[in-house]
Amino acid sequence: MEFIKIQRLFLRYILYGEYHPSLDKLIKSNIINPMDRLNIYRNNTFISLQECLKSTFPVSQQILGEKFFTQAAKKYIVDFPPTNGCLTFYGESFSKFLSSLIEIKNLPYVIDVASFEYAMHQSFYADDYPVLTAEDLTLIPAEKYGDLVLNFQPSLQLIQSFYPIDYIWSIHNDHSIEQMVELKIIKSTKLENYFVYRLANTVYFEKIDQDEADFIQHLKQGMPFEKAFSVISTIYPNFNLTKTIQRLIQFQVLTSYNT
Amino acid sequence: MENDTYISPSPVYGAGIGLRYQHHEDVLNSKPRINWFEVHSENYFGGGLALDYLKKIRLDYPISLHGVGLSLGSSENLSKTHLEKFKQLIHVISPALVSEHLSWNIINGVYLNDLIPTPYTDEVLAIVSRHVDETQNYFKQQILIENPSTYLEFNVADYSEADFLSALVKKTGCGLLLDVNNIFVSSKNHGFDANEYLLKIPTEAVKEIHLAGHTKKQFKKISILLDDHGSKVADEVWALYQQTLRIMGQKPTLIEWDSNIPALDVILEQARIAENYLEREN
Repeated sequence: MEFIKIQRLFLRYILYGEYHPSLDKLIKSNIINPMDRLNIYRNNTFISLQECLKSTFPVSQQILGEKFFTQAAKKYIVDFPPTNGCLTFYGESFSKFLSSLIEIKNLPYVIDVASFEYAMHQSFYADDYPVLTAEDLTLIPAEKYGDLVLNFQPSLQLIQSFYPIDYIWSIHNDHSIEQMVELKIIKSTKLENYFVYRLANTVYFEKIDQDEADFIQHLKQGMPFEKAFSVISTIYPNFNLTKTIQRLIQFQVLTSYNT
Repeated sequence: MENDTYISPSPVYGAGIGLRYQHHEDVLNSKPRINWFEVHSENYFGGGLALDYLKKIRLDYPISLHGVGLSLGSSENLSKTHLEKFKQLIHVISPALVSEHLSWNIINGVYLNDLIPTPYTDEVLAIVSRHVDETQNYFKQQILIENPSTYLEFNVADYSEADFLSALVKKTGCGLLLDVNNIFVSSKNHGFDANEYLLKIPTEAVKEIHLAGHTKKQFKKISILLDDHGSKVADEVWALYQQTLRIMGQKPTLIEWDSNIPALDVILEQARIAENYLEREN
């Protein structure tokens, strides 16, 4: 049999558990039967990828319980297997996948928690660029402000949720609690915004106001400074530009600018 | 990363250890007495903090890059993206050695996170040789190919594993990374003589040795050895290592430990044992 056909038969069994009888002829039995031998590779594949997801989504696992999380991860691996050997960012679509599971209908906030965890993960592994300081900003001539486009550290992530992610996170960090299934989480009518950033080798987050979040989002998307300010101050007349700029400088998320 | 090269490759000698994320800080702070480190290349493809650590550690130690995801043994074409990321990492780190595996893990665009064996046939030799040639040409340097630990054998074979590796060296000019634990594990799982295997390996092609722990899994009345890299090197593997050094002379030797990762000192202690064996062969 051509090797490519052998590989496809292996894939069918290792990933999907579909065993083709011709594998019995291809693989030596030698006391342990071929299916048991292939199961070693099947187990290695699933366990290592489940571990990968568990390390990226520890709070989601705590909420769902290890048993359910492991089952959900297994289904995710089958539906969305990795496509290359770099697993650092495997799990990007995991929160969306969770939203498709009817079993977690009574825990809807776990979807936002998973998105938040992935943002923290991305922030942790993001590239670092030299920081733009307050002094650097003062050197920009005032007449250039109109066209000023600010560039951000890729570790800066903005996340929104109707659930109190910060509260859930603080419970998670209480290591006396092993599982959070019993948490009573109430959906708010107000969308909360979280500003995720990294300083040195630690990822932090801050809750920020909607006007700040929208302003930063516009800037991140490349909108010139003056236009972003004009758009935001029209919608939010009380928008505090100074406070927002101070926050961006304090958290070292600005890297450069174009004028 | 393009303008980021800063160190020339420096050869490795003696014993080194596999460097895992958990120990980055410890290594930077304690600067342990060890000759070199090896890392899984793919863990640094994302750049960011992980690569920052590695670049700092590279200032004090030679680094070997060990790939796990090129899938050289697959009938599918190699991923150009993967090759390019690997090449960029080589450019940044200037590694002493670059290695990959005689195995496959990609088919139909799906990555199975394990090292799956190939049949040792002429067809597969042609595939692996083409991929090794392509990789060496792309990297503009020799790569080492590691013998796998295997839990199954194919009914069809034109070569033994050792003969397959020898033929691969002849066809491509690649070097070999001889994993002594893998030889031990496969020899027990399939009932071949590990010493005979060693004698068939072209000594001059071996540029690095791997050592690791393994575990035993019971299948009803029979047990199978699993190469889990999760414990100290077994006594029988140390004995086979000693035999390997007698046949091949001193070779740079790496301690791998990838699951149930202990404190750095525990792995360093294993490297010191390897150093003692190496000194005896001096």
